[in-house]
Amino acid sequence: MIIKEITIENFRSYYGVNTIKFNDGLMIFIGDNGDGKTTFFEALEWLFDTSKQNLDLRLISEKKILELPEFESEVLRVSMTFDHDGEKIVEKSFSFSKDANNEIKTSNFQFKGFENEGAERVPIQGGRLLDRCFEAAIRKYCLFKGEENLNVFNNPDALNYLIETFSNIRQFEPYYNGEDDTSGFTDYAEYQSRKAFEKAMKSDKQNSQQEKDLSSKLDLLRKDLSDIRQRLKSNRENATNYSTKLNEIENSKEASELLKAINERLKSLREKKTQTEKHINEEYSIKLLDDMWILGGFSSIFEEFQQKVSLFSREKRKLEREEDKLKGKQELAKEIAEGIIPLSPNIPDKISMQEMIKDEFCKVCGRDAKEGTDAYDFMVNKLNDLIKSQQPIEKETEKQLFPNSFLRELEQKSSNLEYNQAEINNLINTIRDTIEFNEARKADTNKIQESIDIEEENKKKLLAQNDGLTEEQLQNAYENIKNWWDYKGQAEKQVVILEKEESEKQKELEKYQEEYNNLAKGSVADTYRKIHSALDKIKNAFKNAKEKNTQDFLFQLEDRANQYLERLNIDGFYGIIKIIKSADGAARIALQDRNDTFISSPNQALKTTMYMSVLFAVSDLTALKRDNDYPLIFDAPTSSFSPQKESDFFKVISDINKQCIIFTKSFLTENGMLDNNKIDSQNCTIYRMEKQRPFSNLDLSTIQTKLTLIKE
Amino acid sequence: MNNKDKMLQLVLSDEKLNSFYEFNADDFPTVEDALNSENPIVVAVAKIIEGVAGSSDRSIFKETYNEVINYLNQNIL
Repeated sequence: MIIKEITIENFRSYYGVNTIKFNDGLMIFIGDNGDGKTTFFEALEWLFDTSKQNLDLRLISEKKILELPEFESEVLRVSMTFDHDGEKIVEKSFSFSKDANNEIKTSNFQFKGFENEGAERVPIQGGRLLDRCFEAAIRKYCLFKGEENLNVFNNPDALNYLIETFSNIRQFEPYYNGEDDTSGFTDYAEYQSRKAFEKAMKSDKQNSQQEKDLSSKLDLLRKDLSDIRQRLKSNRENATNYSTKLNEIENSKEASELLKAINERLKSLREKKTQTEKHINEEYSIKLLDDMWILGGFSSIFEEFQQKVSLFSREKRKLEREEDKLKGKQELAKEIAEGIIPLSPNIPDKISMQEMIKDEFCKVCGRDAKEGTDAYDFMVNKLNDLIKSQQPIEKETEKQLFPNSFLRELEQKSSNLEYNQAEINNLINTIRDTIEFNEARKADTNKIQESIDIEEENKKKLLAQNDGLTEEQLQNAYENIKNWWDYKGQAEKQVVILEKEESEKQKELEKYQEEYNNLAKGSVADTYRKIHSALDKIKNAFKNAKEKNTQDFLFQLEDRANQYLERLNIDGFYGIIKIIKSADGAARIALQDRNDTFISSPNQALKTTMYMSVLFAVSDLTALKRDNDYPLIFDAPTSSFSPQKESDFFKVISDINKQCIIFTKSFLTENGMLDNNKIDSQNCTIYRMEKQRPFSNLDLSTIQTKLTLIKE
Repeated sequence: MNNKDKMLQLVLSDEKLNSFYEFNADDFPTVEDALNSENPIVVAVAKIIEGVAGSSDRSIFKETYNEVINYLNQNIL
C-alpha cells in the first residue's frame, strides 16, 4: 500500500480543505510545537480506526465552528487515495451544524471506499476496504507516536502476535499445536496409531502378561511425564517472570543511581544559588536618597547650586554692609543738622513745666509766655516731649534687610555637602562597583540556574526513559528485589530438578517402549508398531518444523534489523540487535557487542535507531508476507537525536526504498526559522507546517495550520 | 514455493526423521514430488499436509488418518 494523496478538511487546526500529495519515498513534515504535526497524525489515526464511529465535537475546526452561520452545516472529512493492487480511496466524514443556541450537532457519519475495477470506480464500505488493504495487524506496526512508543515489543504479546501473523506458524496449528495441546492432527494420528498398536498387542495371547505389565508401566510413566512437563512449564514461566522483573529493576538500578546523583547535584546547586542570591542587594531606590546616590547623576547641578549659594551669600553680605553704612550716615546727618546738643527732656521737671504753662510765664527765662505765642507753644511741646519720654519706650521695630533665614540654610546645606564632596566624587565608582557586583552575582545565579535546568531536564529524560516510572517508584524499585531473587532462584532450581526428572522418565519410557516394541516384533502387531513409530516420529518432525519456522522468522527479523541498524548509525558504535524470546512467548530487543556482551543502557538515540531498525525489518517481512509494501508513519521519532545525527538519519532513510512519513521539528532554528542549509542537504520531499498568522495565543478559533511545500 | 511446500521442507528437514527413514529432503521440493516418492514416510508426510490442508475439522482428521494408515499398512517395511 502506497499513500498517494491525503485530504484533511476541517479537522481541528486543518481549517478548510488541505490536500497533500505523497510520493513513495521519505516525506518530512517540519513544524514547531502546536503547528499541527500531531493533529495530522491523529487525523490519519481517526481515518484508520475501523472499529467505531467517532463524531467527537473536539475533532472539528474551532475556526470553522466560529464562522459557521446558524442552521448551516459543514463537513469534517479525512480521505486517502492509495495504491494497493490498483488505485483505491477511503474517506471518512461527518456533518456538523449550528443550532439556534449556538450548539454544534453532528450527523451523517460516512465511511466510504472506492476501488477501480477496470475503468469503473466501484463503491465499497471504507472500513472493509481498509481492513482488506491495510489490515489492523499491519497498522499496528506502521503508526508510531513519539520516540517512546517505538519499541513494539513493550507489549509482551507483541512478538507472539507478530510471529503468528507474519510467520507461517499459524499454518502448523492444524498439524501440531504444542506440548500441552493435543488438538493437532499429528497428536491425533500418534494417539490413534498407539491405541491401534496396543489393541493389536493385547489381542496377541502369546505375550499378554508381559504386554499387560509393560503397558501399565508405560501408562504410569506417560502420566508422570505429563505431570513433570506441566510443572516444568509453570516453573519456567515463573523463572522468566521474575527474571523480567529483575531485569527491569537492573535497568532501573542504574536509573535510580543516576536519579540519586542528579538529586544530590540539584540540592547542592540550589543551596549555592540561595547563598549567591543573598549577596545581591538591589535596593537602589533607597540608596538613591539615603546614600545620596542621586548626586552622582547631578554633579553639574550641584556645582551650579554651590556657585549660586556663594553668589547669594556674597550679595547678602554686600547689601547688609551698605545698609549699615546708610544708617550710620543718616544718624550723623541728623546730629550735624541740629548743631547744638539739647538738654535732657527732664529739665525743668514735669510739675514745673505744668505750673509755667498754667501761669503763662517762663520761669527759666523770667519773661511772659502768653498762650498763642511761640514761647507758650515751646513750653507745651517741651512738656509733651517730657511726658512722652517718661512713657515706656516702645522699641522701634527695625525692618530687617533679610528677615528670613533661607539663605543661611542654603549656606549650611552647601557647606555640609561640601564636606562630603570627596565621597560624592567617588559616588559613580561606588554605584558602578555595587551594580557590577550585583550583576556578577546575578550572572553566577543564572549559571547555577542553567545547571539546575540541565539537571531537571536530565531527570525528566531519565524518568521518561524508564517507562513512565515516577520518581518515587524509581527510588523504591529495590523493595522487592530480595523476594524476587528468592522466587527466581527457587523456580530455576525446580526447573533443573524437573528437567533431570523429565530426562530420566523419558529414558525410562523409551526403554519400556522399546521393550514393548520388541515384544511386538515378529508378531501380528509388528506392522502397527511400525506405523505408530513412524507417526510418532512424524509428529516430532512437525513439532521441530514449527519451532524452526519461528526461529527462522526471528533470525530473518534480526538479520534485517541489523542491516538497517548498520545503515542508520553512521560513524558510531551500534552493536548487534538480538531479539530474545522467553519461554512464555514474550520478547525483548537487546543490544550486544560482537563478544556477546550485553549493552545494558544504550543511549536514547541508539535505542531509537535500534527500535526503528526492527520496525523497518518488520515492515520488510510484512511486505514479503503480503506481497505488498506499507508506509511507516512516525510522529516526532527523533527527539533525542543530535542535529547532525538527525540530518544523517533522514538522509539514510531517504535512500531506503520505503514510503516513510515523518513529522518532526528538526530543521528549525532556535527562533523557529527554517534551517535552509540542512534542508538543502536532504534528498526528499519536505513540507513546512505552521500556524497561519496572525493568530491569538488565547483563542483556538484563530488557529489554522498552513502547509507549504518547501522542497520537492 | 507455496506454503505447503515450505512446510514439507521444514518437516522433511528434521534430522531424526530423514536419518531414520533414509531420505534426502532436498529431493522433494514440492508436495507433488513427495507424493510420488518411493519412500513411504515422505509420502505419508505429503499425504498429511495435503489431506489436512489447513483444516482442524475432526472428520478431515479421521479421513486423512485412515488414508495414511492404509497407505503405510501397505507400504511400510
